[in-house]
Amino acid sequence: MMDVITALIVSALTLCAWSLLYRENIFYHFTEALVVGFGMGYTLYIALDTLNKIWLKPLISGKLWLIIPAILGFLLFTVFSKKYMYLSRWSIATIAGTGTGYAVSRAVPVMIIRQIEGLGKPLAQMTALETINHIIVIITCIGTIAYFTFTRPHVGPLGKLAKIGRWSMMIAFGSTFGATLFANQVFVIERCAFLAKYPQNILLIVAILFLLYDFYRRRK
Amino acid sequence: MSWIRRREIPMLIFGITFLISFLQYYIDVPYLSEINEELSNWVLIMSTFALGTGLIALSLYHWRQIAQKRKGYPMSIVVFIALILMFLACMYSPSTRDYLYGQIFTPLSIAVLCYTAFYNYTAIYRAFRIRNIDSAIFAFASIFLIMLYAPIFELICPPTTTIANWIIDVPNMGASRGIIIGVAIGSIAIAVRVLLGYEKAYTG
Amino acid sequence: MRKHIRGEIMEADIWKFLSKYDRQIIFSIVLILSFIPAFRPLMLPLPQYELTNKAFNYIESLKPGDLVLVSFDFTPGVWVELGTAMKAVMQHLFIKKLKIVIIAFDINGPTLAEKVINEINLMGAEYGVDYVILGYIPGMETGMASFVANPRMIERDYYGNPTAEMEIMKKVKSISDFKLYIFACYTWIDPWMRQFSGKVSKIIGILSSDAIPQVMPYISSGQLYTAVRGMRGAAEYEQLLGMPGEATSYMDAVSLTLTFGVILIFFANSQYLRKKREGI
Repeated sequence: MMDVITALIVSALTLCAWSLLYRENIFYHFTEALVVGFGMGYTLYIALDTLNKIWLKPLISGKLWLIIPAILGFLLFTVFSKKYMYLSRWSIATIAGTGTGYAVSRAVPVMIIRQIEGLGKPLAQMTALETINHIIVIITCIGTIAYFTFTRPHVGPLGKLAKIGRWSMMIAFGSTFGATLFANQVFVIERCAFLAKYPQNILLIVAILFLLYDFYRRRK
Repeated sequence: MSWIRRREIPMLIFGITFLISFLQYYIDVPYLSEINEELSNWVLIMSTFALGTGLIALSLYHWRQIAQKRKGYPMSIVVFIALILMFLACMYSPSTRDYLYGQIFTPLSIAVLCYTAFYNYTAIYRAFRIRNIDSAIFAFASIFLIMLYAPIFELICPPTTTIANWIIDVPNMGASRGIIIGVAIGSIAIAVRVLLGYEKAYTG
Repeated sequence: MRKHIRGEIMEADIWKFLSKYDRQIIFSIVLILSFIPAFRPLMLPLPQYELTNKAFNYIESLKPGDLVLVSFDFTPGVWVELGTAMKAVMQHLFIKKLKIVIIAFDINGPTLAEKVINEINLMGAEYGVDYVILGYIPGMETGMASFVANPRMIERDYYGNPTAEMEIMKKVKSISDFKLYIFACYTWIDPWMRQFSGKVSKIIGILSSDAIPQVMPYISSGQLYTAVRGMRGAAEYEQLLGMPGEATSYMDAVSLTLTFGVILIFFANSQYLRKKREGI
């Protein structure tokens, strides 16, 4: 019984969310408010639970120096005050400095050196087709990097290389767009598969009839 | 007390924390890894507090909506009711939390994300125009990638999959590699600019 | 003559109607094509992809008792893409009787991990002995770096139990003890690559389909062993496991709707060329 009630509630909320596709209405705003509210409530719980585990319990067990990050954490909330906003910059600087240090230190070996190593595979061990493909990879990679050199005008050989880079980036972005169409479509397919089942399909038929009636009424 | 307002203090904090987390990866200095571990622990605690700033900002916005009875303020009341409901469920009833999160919130989040799919198709119809060679290359790559993900094309016309896989493995690979290297160099450049004080995002 | 003029006027009216309601017509077609397989499955065969096979074969080669680290780093909105794939992969991990440590760098991760655990067959696995959910680690890249430096940093698991006494956590001394790291994320994977690359023996990404073109350089350079591409990868993985599930059932609708997408691209550009020729 609970399953049936849940299915009807969820299908009603799904149809309310999709009603925006027809036109803006209060049902859509209601579901949007629900999503925001549930998300906020869950985030609040996880934030408090995590603080309890990584700060409060160690603090109570004797690590009194953890008062300092707590003070810095509370200083973050001064961002809402025009008078004391400058205090939040200390905390932001700490978080950003540490994160940037971790990111930049590992960016060099992982994102630069290993990627350049990937370009330097021995051609002698490859077949003819692999060799051609590898040369195309090298040219497109260098072309992409050349496209982002803004200290020289893109004329002459640099201009040609930048053009190759632009075209190869068009291929990359086109590939991403094509894949994105699939990635986003699966959300619709899953919801449709849910709505097609009984008893949700009854609500679906009611919604379609209501839409058709509203469309006919507005055209008249 | 005007020294508290000085821009140099956040810059100094950024520089010190950056150097601690940067150098411990490359240099084996006594006590540096212990200092780094403690600093990371502090940052984890502060990041959890940072979650609260987002919550407070949203709450303040919806509170003002209700207090000033602006257009759509009943929905702000719904936001707060949903917030309290979910928070109490998480605190006192794990089964209710699982129900609200798994059976209501997750499908609703999926339903809201469906807009991107619908608007992708309208974007294709209204804006996807092959006007020059750049857009022709873009369209060529998108069409083959769409065909790669739909099993029907692989069954009807297998060469489309071969071409699509070649596009991903060769020209796309080169461009993506260039983008990764470019992003890495860019992030190093930004870090150097912040260290030298040219970027004022943290100092105001 | 009158019939010819009336035909032209009717054709113009149809185009005017289509132009005015193009959005609604497109939405309706997409919805109809998504609904058709739900009522009448087409049962199209699903070809396999080498990256998914690579992931399956590596997990198949692991021995019972090997430590595997899994991180859930996505939001509930993308459950269809990543949750279905995680279900298939996690089911394989439990079938192989591996020891699974679950963490999350996204705030929604622990609850989504619980959801996956509740929806699959645990094959008799015991919490604390065969698998554990350590919970959310804040700070994103800083959190990842802290965990890599010290995987025993979390003193209490998601449910508040002390982790030091757990049998599974006694096997974890350093990050290199893990034979495999599986992560599921919906965004650029650079932070995961920066922190975990070179630290764990093999890394497998459960990624959304639009991330696959972007991660090919990491796969080519060996930093990322392989990737399971979203829901398509989930359907392929379910076939390899011999347990077809919801991902497999959605692939028919994918074929229909993506075919419509390709037709729409050609149609839209043919309309554009026609108007350009007519000087509109």
